[in-house]
Parts: sequence; structure tokens; C-alpha cells
Amino acid sequence: MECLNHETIERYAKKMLPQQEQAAIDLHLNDCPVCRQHIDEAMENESLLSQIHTHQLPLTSHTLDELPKPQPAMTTAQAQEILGRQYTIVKKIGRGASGEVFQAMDPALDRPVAVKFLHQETLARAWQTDQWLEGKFMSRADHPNIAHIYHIGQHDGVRYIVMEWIDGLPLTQAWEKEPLAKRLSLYMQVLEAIDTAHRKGIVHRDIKPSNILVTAAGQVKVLDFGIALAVESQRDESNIYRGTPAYSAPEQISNPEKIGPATDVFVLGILLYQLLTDTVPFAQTDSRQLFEAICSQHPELPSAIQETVPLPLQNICLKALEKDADSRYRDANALANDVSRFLRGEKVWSRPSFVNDQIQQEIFYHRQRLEVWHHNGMITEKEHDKLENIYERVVAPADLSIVESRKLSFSQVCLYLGGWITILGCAVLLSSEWSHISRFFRPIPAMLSVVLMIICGRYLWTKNETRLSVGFLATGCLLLPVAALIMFGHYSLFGPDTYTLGSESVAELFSGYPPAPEETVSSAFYLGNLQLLISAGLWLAASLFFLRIIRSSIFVIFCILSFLGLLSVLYVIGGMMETWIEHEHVIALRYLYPGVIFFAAGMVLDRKKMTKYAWPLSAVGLLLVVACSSFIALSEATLFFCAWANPDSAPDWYTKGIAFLSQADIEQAKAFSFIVNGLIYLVLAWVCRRQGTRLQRTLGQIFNWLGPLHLLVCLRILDQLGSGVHQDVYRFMLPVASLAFVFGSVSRQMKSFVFSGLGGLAISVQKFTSEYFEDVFSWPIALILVGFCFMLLSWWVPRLRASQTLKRE
Amino acid sequence: MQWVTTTQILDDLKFSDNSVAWKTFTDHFYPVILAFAKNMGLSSADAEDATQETIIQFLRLYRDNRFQREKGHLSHWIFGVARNVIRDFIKKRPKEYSVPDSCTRTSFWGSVPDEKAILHTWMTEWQRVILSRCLSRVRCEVDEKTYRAFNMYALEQQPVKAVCEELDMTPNAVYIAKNRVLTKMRELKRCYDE
Repeated sequence: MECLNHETIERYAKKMLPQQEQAAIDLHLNDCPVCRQHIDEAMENESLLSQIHTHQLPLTSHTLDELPKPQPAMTTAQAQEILGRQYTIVKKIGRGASGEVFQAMDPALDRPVAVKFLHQETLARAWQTDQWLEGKFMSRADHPNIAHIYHIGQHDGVRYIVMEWIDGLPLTQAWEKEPLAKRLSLYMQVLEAIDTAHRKGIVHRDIKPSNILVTAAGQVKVLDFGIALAVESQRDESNIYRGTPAYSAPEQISNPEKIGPATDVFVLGILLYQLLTDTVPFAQTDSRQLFEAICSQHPELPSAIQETVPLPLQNICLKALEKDADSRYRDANALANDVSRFLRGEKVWSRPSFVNDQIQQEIFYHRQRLEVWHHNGMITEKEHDKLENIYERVVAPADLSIVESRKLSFSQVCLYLGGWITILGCAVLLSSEWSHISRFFRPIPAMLSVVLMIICGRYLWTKNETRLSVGFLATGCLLLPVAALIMFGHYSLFGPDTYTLGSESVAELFSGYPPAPEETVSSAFYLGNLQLLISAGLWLAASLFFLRIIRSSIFVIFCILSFLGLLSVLYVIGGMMETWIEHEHVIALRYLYPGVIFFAAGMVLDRKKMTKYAWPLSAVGLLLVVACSSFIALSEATLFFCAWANPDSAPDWYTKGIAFLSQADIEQAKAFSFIVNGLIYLVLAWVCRRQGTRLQRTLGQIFNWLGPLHLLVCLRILDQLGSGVHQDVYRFMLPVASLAFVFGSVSRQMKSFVFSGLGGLAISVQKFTSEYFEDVFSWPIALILVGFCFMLLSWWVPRLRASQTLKRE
Repeated sequence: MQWVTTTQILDDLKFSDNSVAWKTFTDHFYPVILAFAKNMGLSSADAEDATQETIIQFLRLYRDNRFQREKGHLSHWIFGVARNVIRDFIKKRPKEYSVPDSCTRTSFWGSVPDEKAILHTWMTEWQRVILSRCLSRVRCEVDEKTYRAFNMYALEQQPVKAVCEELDMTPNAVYIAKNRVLTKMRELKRCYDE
């Protein structure tokens, strides 16, 4: 091959050569240092040239030049000629970037329709295709909030789309005088429509108020998918600017390759900004300034314009308006999820990345000053450490994996469920003696579980699967003391004869086994104080290790679970159940009245902005109300049980009172108290959540957690009190309902239901162990394996979904 | 226009009575710092003050031998000084003056520093001024026809055929003209980047 001429070098540097020719030149360049040098220089020159263009012309030159140019307007007569007799033109409505719109009548069906004639130039230049993209996309995106397509036609090269006639107002006009709640409900309809389009691989690219009409019935209709781009087909390679300048995303202006669902999210962010402030975030009148502002300036904070803007909504809005498409919500669904969370009164975790950066930068300077103050003795070491801790927490907010783990998804729920079932399996191992199994083998499954969890957690950590890794490590940490106790007990480590905790075995504590005879102490499963202390120490060490990794709600859950474990031990040892049963339920009522009064007084004070006094009153009220109502429910059930099982043990008035009830009625009535209790809590949760204050929301959340748990406890009571087939039905209903609670929680992010479900599952496992699988060693092993499989499922499901998405794209 | 490298400017600035070096230095860096200060949300008057303060502070530090070439580029060093000066200006100014001259409704963000955005703004301004100076300089160094060919073909992105017809040149000559100008610009730019 001869040496390269200037034209070839130029085309090579600009990457304009066909692939074969380029390959041939590459071969030549390996042998010719002179040409190699020319090529290198030419490529460096090209790079410099692109810098010149970038810095001197911040917008690519074609962007502004190729804004759609005005087309000659079509008259009503011309439009009628094209349509023939099929439709009768009524009037011209207007013209947009992709065509002109007329109102017409369909005489056959006697209904008004909208007819859109597409611009010739737009079609020829942009799509170069015979496909009717808009019609195709809109018919694919069949949704009540998307305008329907009736007919697609062509006459003398002019193409038109006949669609649903919508008599409505543009979105911003429709919500002009509406309160925030109404505006948000309209906005949610827009999100649903765009989400449907995104799910079908369609990006609207021209969302703006005039393309979103609201009918008199309050239904939103999204129109004009005229410049819709099918993500999957990637047809649009023309890199021509399309859209409405004020409602454009940065990538529409400067980086068309990155156009995707996040492009629509940016514009939905602009709409949300308008919803909150009644102004657009980028109000420049000059196109060039407007594009520069969209690409590089942060908008004014909505709360600076409108003081009443709720801060979570502001964060959602700013997150949607991130300049970098990857930092925004990935699609309309993700945005809708956060808006729904706000509407449900849940915490919204999203925070725009630039806010984080700014906070971190400011705090960096504050911490430098803190060091100086400390060094100069202006603050004590304690004050310094306290402030440092606060700054540390603000600077390093929960990372994405933690935020993700707080969102309930199928995968996350599988992780919780798997971890919990594994722990239950080990708890079953701890609660029995397994005298028929080799002593050496007894603790092996639990130990293996711990090792497996820690290895998996560590492996996932190295693979940056933080969310899953934390799940495995947390389970490992919780299993560690359990496995240690099993090991100490069966291997008689750290002195089997030192136990003094009521001289009872752990097996006895959990399953009510009679104490082992003195002579079998050496061979039985017994634990002493030293062993308990060592396992508690292990738990503490594991907790501290865990605390270093995360500092968020998972750890709180971890502590709550440990606390519940402790409570259950106290519950059995202290015989609280018996104490409750011995009391009359009427006594509880005496405590319920002051509880209600305290509670109501707290709410009134809170509404009067006297929050300082409202908190303690509400807390006392809450404690009394919950304790009394739970006690009443429990004692009611117990009294029914007593009256049914042994009429002498119940008070006379009670026995007489229920004498007219049949046995079946009594059985069901026993559960009612718990169901009613649970429902009362759910209603209270709903009432509290509707209030705006922090106190009310907190109370609402507490009730929200109590409600579902009571509903499951009712099944447990029915199981205990029922007989025959009924008993079996209730026994199996509890785990089924628990699983339904766990998986049903995903759609509405109901964490209280997840953890109630997990609690219900624990009760079921305990019941099944004592009823069907007593001394069956394969039962706990099966539980551990099932738990582990669920955890693996949690790892596998997102990957499967990702690969399917990739395949689809 | 006299072309001097960054090293030359810095060497000359060592001596406080060298007014030529001072002028050269301010000619080079004043527009960058001024544009940067305005972008950070300062009003025109404040931006002028901040720019002068930045240059004075930089010179003071430079003469105290606080700037070591091996530890970083001059641009980053000046950026650090400018950022701190502007930050002080923002903190000191009274609240009622917190809205910049051209109200682009970004006043809040103008008052809260965003480190990434600030650095980006600085680097953009810095590169823009350097490229603009290199372009002006190279225009003086090449003949008129070469520069016109470069301008039409590379900057205005006209088709090579149109450039050939307009300037009566062959396509090869156009490509050579473009590469000659850009190669010279690269050499000049390297002096700034050092």
C-alpha cells in the first residue's frame, strides 16, 4: 500500500473511512512510521478542534440551526380535500413541531375527532421511513391516559392521523386554582401514562403542558407522541434537535445519543417544578441562554419561590432535574414510586446529588475549623467528638445500597425471608436436644450456616453487591451467637456445670422440656452463665463489626430482633403470660380511659403547636392504650378459652354471658378481639398519618406496625383453640398468611407487614416443630437450606431481570 | 502581541518592579478570574474586586515561594486562591445584595458553592481564554489565505469543495492549511499547560 495522502489522513482522523479501508490503513501504519506520525498529528489536531468547538460554541452548531423551520400552513379546504368524505373538517386547532391539527367530525359514528397532518419535511428529514411511528407507538401505548388512535391515512403523499378528540384544558391551566393534593393526583396520572410508554420502550421526547389535556371529568390525556423515539429500535440517528426548548432535557440539546426514558423524567421534573411553584425552572427567553441554563445551571429552589413547598417533593423534583441523566430517576416508574411514597406519608430518600456534594464541601470546611477550635482549646474534646460524629453522619449519608435495601422489592423480601428462615432453622436446632444424633454432628449445620453466610457476604462485598452482602453478613452476625450456644452446649465447652440461670436448660426455656435429671447433666444440652456471656460477647463483637459497615435501619432492625429475642426469653422465664391470665380484663379497662385521654390531649396539644408537651403525653397515652387493648384482647381470648375448656375457671357472669353461644361461635369470637384490635390499630395508623405533624406520623407508624401483627396473632389463637379440621386449616393458614403479608408488602412498601409476616412465620415454625417435626433433625436442616435458597434467589432475580432487559433491548 | 510562556511570566513576576510582567500576567489571567467570579454569582463590581484581590493574593503567595511548580499546574493554584477569595466575598456581602446583576433565577445556587460545578466553570473559562489567545496568536503567524482556509473548513465547517472554490485552492492545500494552524496552536497551548 502506498503512503497516505492528505485527504485519506483527514478522513481517517475524522473516522469517516469504511471499516475495510480503515483496517487496510491500520496494517500500513504498522509498517510506516512517517504515515503513523502524520496520523497521530492529525488526530491530535482533531481533538484540539473539538475543544475549540466545545469552548467557543457551547452548543453544537447544528442544534440551533436545525430547529424545525416554519412550514407553509395548511388551509381548512386543503385538509378537507385530503380527508375526502370520510371526515368533515370543523376547524383548525393549531400547529406544532411535527404537524398541524384540525378538529373534524366522523359522520359514520357521529363523533368528533382530531386529525393531525404531519409535516412533509419533518417526515422526510427525520424518519425516512414508511412506518407511522407516532400512530404505531400510540396504539402500542394503550392506556386510559393516552389519547387513542382511530385511523392512520395517507393522501397524495400527505400523511395524517385521526385520533380521539379531547375537550380539555392544558395541564397547567387545569391545575391553576387547584390545591396541591389535586395537582398531585393529576400529575400521577401523567406519570402513569408516561410509565406505560416507557414500559413499551417509547420515549415521548415532547412532554409539555399543551400536550397534556385534562378533561372536565378530571382525566388526564397525554397527546402528541409525534417525535416519540423507540428506544429499542434506535431509529433516530439524525441527531437533530427535536422538542420544545423550554421543556427539553440537557441530552436533547447536546448529547442526543443519551436520549432515553430519563429524558422524559427531566421534563416531568420541569412539570413538577411548575406544579409546586407555578413557574418554569428555566425561564430564559433567548434560546441560546435557555439551552445553556438547561445544560449547566441549577434552578432556583422551589421552596425559595413558594415557602409552602413540601421538602420531600422538592427533593424529588430536583432529583428529576439532575443534569446528568444517570443521576436522575431512571424512568417515570421510579419517579412515580417516590411521589407515591410522599403521598402515602412515607419517607422519601431521594436527594439530588449536587445537594449532597454541596453539603459535603461545606462540612469539610466546618470540620477544619472544628479541629482549630479543638486545638486552641475553644471546645472540649467531648464537644469536639460529638460535633464530629454529627458531621460524620451528615457527610456520609446512607449509601445507595442501604437506600435500596429500604425499598421493598421481591428480591429484598426474599433476602429478609431467607435470612429469617435460616435463623429459625438454627433456633430449632438450639431448642432441642437431638439425643438420637451423634453429639459431634449436632452443632455442624449451625456452624456451617454461619461460615456459609460470612463467606457469601464477603464474596458479594468484593463484587460490590453491597445490599446482598449486608443481608448475608447480618444473618451471619445473628446466627453467630446461636451457633456458639449450640456448640457450647453439645461440646460442653466452658464448663457445663456452671449454669445457674434458674438451673434451666435453654431447651427447656424454649420448648418446655422437663429439666434433665442430675445424672445426665454431662451428656445433655445445658448452658451456663459463662457460655451465655461468651455468646453475648460474640454477638456484641459481631454487632460492632457490623456497625462499622453500615449505620442505618438494617442495624436498627438487627437490634430490634435481638431485643425481641431477649423479650421472648423473659416472656417464658418470667411467666408473664400466666400473670396476665390471672388478672381480670375489666382492670385493663380502667387503664384504657386515662390512656385515651392522654392520647387525645397529646394530639390536641400537637395541633396547637405545643409539641414539647405533646410528645410525653402522647407517649404515655400510646403505652396505656396499646398495653390495655392488647391485654384485653389477650384476656378476652383467654377467658373464652377458660370458659369453654373449664367453666369453673372463668367468672360467673362471664360463663353466663357466653352460655347462649355455640362452641363454634365461641371459637370464632375468641379471635375477634385480636382482629378488632388489629383493625383499630390500622384505623388509628391511618388517622394519625393523615395529620401533618411529625408526632402524629410517628404514632401512625407505631400503630401501623401493631395492626398486622394482631391480625396474625388471631390466626394463632384460632389454631390453639380450634379442633380437628378447623385447627389444621388455621395452622396452615398462619404461614400462608404470613408469606402473603411478606410478599404482598412489596407493591405498597408496607414494611410493617413484612416484619409481622416474618413474626408469624416464626410462630408457625415453632408450632410445626412441636406438632409435626419434634426431634426430626432434617427439619431444621431443611429450614436452613430453604432460607439459603431464598437468599440466593434474591441475588439471582435482579440478574435474570437485567439479562432479560438486555435481551429485549 | 507578544507571546510569553507561563514560566516566563512567573519568572518575571519575582521582581516587584517589573511592570511589564505584571501587565502580561493580568492580561492573561484577569478575564478568566473575572468570568469565573461572575459565574459564581458575584455582581460585576464584586467580581472586579474579587479578581483584583485574587491576583494580589496570588502574587503575595508566589513571592513567598508558596507555589511550587512540581506540585501542580498554575491554573489549579490560581483556582484555589480565586475560590477562597470569592467564597469570602459571598460570605461577607449583605443579604440584600445576594442577587447577581443578571437575575437568572439561580441566585440561591450562586450563593452555595458546588465544588464540581465550580471547578468545571473554572476549567471551562481557563480553556476558553487559552484557546482564544492561541487562536489570535496563530492568526498573526500564518498567512491570510492559510488562516481563511482553516477558518472556513475547520471552524465554520464548510464543505472542502466550497472552500476550494472560494479560495482557489486544492483540497490537499486546505487539509495542509488546517493541520498547519492546529499544529501551531497545539504548540502554543502546550506552553500554557506546562
